[in-house]
Amino acid sequence: MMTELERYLAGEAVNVGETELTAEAIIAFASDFDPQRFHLSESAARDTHFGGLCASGWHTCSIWMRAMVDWTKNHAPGAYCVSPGLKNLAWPKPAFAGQTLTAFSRVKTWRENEKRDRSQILKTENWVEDDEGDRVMSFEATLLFGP
Amino acid sequence: MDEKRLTFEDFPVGATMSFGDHVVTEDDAFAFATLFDPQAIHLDKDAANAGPLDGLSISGWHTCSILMRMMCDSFLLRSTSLGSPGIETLSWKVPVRPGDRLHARWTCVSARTSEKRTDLGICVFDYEVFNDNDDVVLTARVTHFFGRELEPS
Repeated sequence: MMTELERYLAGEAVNVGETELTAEAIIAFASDFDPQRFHLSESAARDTHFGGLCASGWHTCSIWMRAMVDWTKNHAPGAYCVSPGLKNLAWPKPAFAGQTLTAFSRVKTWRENEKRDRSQILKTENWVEDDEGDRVMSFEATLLFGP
Repeated sequence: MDEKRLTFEDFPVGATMSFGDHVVTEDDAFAFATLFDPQAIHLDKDAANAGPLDGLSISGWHTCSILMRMMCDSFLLRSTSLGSPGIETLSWKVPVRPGDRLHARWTCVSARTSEKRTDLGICVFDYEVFNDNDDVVLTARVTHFFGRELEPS
């Protein structure tokens, strides 16, 4: 039977974790990094084109990262997960307060990293879904993965 | 009286702006990494020295978030910004170290009006973030929606 890590490297989309998106967390993140009114209060957000309090796009990215790091600790202990860059980062739908966000990652191709033992270079597709199963964020990234 | 807000018309192709001055403290780097990117390369000096980035670095998402804050403070909050549909490319060129002082620049590389919505303009900005040695630590090509001057949002 394949481990979850083996299934991930074989190209299966993996649910790397779920996160409750609270209003408090949205406001805390936005107060530090993205103080636009639709990220700061429910009442102020209601009058904007988003229609409700929603997370900074960078907050959604950071929530994906936390899930990916926790998944990596569980399924590839000792491995790091860093990236030289990404492309086609999109926020197709606002991530609203009260949603449960589910983070996913899928390997499209991978190869051994000649510069570091037992390490791989992964070409990945990554995304976060809301309660309705709609994508609120997605991107493609090269991940350097390994101990 | 409100100051006139920056609109699509204020961002023609070739326009450029240097902005931001942000010191990444060790406490801030540690707090962000603890919450969102708790890898040893961001939290543990010894492990980071043996890791792929040759020493402690801040989370790449932290750098993105700092860029966002510098954008908000320098122009976005006094503009007719209607958000961003996304980012074509983003590269983390050089690790950002706790204690680094960051600043940034954008250059507008594309500006067009929406065919569907006459009140909307679509701009593409190339961003660069620099450390105190003026090394480029991050580049990104970001699409922005701005309201037009003709019909204020």
